[in-house]
Amino acid sequence: MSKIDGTMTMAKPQQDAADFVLEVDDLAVTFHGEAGALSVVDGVSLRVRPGKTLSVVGESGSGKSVTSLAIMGLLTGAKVTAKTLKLRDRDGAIMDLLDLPEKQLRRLRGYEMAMIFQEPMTSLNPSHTVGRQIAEVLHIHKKIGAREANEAAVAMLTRVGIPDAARRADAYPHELSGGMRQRVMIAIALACNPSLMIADEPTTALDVTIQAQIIEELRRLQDELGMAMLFITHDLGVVAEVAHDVAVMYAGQVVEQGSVIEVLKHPRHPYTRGLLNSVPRPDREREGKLRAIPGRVPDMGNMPEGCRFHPRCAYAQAGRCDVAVPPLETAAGEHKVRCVRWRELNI
Amino acid sequence: MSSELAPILEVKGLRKVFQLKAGFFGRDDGALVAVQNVSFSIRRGEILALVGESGSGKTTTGRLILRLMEPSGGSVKFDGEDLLPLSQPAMRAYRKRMQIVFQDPFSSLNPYTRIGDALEEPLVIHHLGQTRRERRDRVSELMEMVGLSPSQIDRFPHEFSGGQRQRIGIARALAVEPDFVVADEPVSALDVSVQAQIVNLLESLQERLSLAMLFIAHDLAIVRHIADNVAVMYLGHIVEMAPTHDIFANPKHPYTEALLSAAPIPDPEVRHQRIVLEGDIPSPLNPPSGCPFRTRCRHARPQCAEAPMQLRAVAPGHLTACIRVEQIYGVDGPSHPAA
Ligand SMILES: Nc1ncnc2c1ncn2[C@@H]1O[C@H](COP(=O)(O)OP(=O)(O)OP(=O)(O)O)[C@@H](O)[C@H]1O
Ligand SMILES: Nc1ncnc2c1ncn2[C@@H]1O[C@H](COP(=O)(O)OP(=O)(O)OP(=O)(O)O)[C@@H](O)[C@H]1O
Ligand code: SF4
Ligand code: SF4
Ligand SMILES: [Mg+2]
Ligand SMILES: [Mg+2]
Repeated sequence: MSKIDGTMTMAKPQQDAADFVLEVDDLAVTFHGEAGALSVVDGVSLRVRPGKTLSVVGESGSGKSVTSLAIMGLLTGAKVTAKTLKLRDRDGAIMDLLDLPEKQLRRLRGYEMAMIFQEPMTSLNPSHTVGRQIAEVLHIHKKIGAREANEAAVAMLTRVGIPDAARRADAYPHELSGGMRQRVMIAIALACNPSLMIADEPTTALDVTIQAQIIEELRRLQDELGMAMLFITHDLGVVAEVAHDVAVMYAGQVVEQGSVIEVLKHPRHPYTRGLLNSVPRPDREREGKLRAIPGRVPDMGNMPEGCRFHPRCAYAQAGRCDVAVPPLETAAGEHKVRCVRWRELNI
Repeated sequence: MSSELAPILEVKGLRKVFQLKAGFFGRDDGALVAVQNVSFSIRRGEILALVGESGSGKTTTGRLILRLMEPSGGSVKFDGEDLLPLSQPAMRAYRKRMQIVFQDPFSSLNPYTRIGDALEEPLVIHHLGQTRRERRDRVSELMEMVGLSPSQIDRFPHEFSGGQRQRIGIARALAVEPDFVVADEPVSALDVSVQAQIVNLLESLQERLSLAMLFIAHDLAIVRHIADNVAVMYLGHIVEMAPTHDIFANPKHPYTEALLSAAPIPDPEVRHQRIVLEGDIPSPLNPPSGCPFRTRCRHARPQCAEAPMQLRAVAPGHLTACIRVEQIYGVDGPSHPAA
């Protein structure tokens, strides 16, 4: 963890690294474009426990997808650095993802760590049937024969709620609805029972009954196989259902993290509060216009000084909030917050 | 709601059949009925939300209305004009007035076109703005409107996040100030704070320009917030349609009820009663006879396999296709307390 982090002062025994399936410390990602270097992820630390789900929420463009692609080793054209980037595989061996040769990394991908991508259409091959695409993953990683792989592919499609899977396996991606394509992606990711599942908005394109079914299926796999999950979503309702822990990102940094109850029920950061205020509830009648957070996320190339949220924050104070990046401080236990005013604010 | 106004959009008996080819996993040649006898109308300034099962035909319905796909049957009337018999050149006059925000923002943006050019394109096509300068100003304004920074005008689509790309799609649809928009999951890729901004934006446009909208969505909280009316689709059919308040407070179809009960609530301490759907999810390649929902309906009876699918009114403006609605929900009045 970074130097200014409050965890250092905590009277807590050193966590055994093996307690986590994924351990990320101080991850930074920089793109090099026409306009020079662009830092899009800065000092992100995350830990995911076996059988548990860490939800990452936050503003669009705050670096959630880039963070997950960096973990998977799938970012091209970017510089990725971290103090720690470790994965524990199903046999308990700890892999240093930053040091691993690409060939070994490729073997881990899809097998030990799988990813459900945000945009299914761009990650499915348009010229192969979906059945074939799933069978291929099984064939490569599990080394099973073609026929067996085909049968398993159909079984996977059934598991994610595709009706008439045997016939639907013959469909090309464009012949399926948005939600079905998403389920195909989920089927591919689940095919090898990975130790770590990174799910980037996996249920956003699904109707709520299928969403509930997929969440059930993911939970069942967690219980049975101890699969750990990094679950990116902006749907705070889904967070409330799936997450054990939550990390809130803003402009490339984690601004608050803790247990799901701490973050959703007792938020300490004004941005988290703003997020919670801006969602309507399905169980309540309309109450006037939505309370959106004013303004927009800053340009990555043009970060405000100090707290990156200060131009939009209702509690911002000149001279305090706009001078230095606030440290991520421990409010209580594992609950951390990056706001210079967290002690005095009652939000 | 201005009930005295004639609808700007009237859809009647819309139908779409896809012909499929045989394949390796055992698919035979066959026909898939994606949209079946869909009828509704939308007035100026009104938002009809289309919700329902994934694969139930929502996107297809939206595309058929704009003739991005040719319907197999039915009619679409826009501002009194029957669109389906029109030739594609004759359609062009309506293209400007009817726009779409696509579900998958990435596939609808050309990866080699800078965002500024992508947004300028509809302005050029529809002769809006005399000079390049005027159009560029309008593009900047549009970007501001959807919460993007005009300084990103020369970036390419891959340099934006998913939510940012979705906003580009919205800006492009709104660029020509249309009368009617099909918004296919316009906010589902957006984070909640931008979602709130866009929802507020769509609402103000709806009021200011009397924009009519077909709002396809999975997020029932947003639907409850924004829509005037809601239509629920299942396996190609509309199975229930009603004013928003009525459908949430007093659903009259077992599928709607299950759908509403599955909506996640952003409070980890609220555990709600969820109706878990069991039974086989039917295939659109081989749909059940009678009520399409009967294979998963806990209220199903043998007669549900016999009666043809038909919407009927059970209250003013409240239509349901469930033949057992009286037995399940009582003959008159709400069986549920208003939420
Ligand atoms: N290849 C790239 N080159 C330059 N900038 C990029 C690239 N990919 C992403 N970015 C920038 O990095 C930032 C983080 O993007 P990312 O996709 O991680 O956001 P996100 O949090 O996943 O957002 P969303 O919720 O909209 O999916 C954005 O500002 C984006 O514009
Ligand atoms: N080009 C096509 N060829 C064959 N079948 C298609 C095609 N496009 C859609 N379908 C089928 O038509 C049905 C309806 O699809 P549609 O995309 O309209 O669903 P949807 O309600 O929008 O679902 P989602 O909520 O998942 O986006 C699905 O069964 C789908 O597989
Ligand atoms: S540090 Fe200041 S500007 Fe930033 S969130 Fe806290 S109060 Fe707001
Ligand atoms: S018609 Fe029968 S099967 Fe269909 S929703 Fe009503 S009770 Fe259920
Ligand atoms: Mg993303
Ligand atoms: Mg769709």
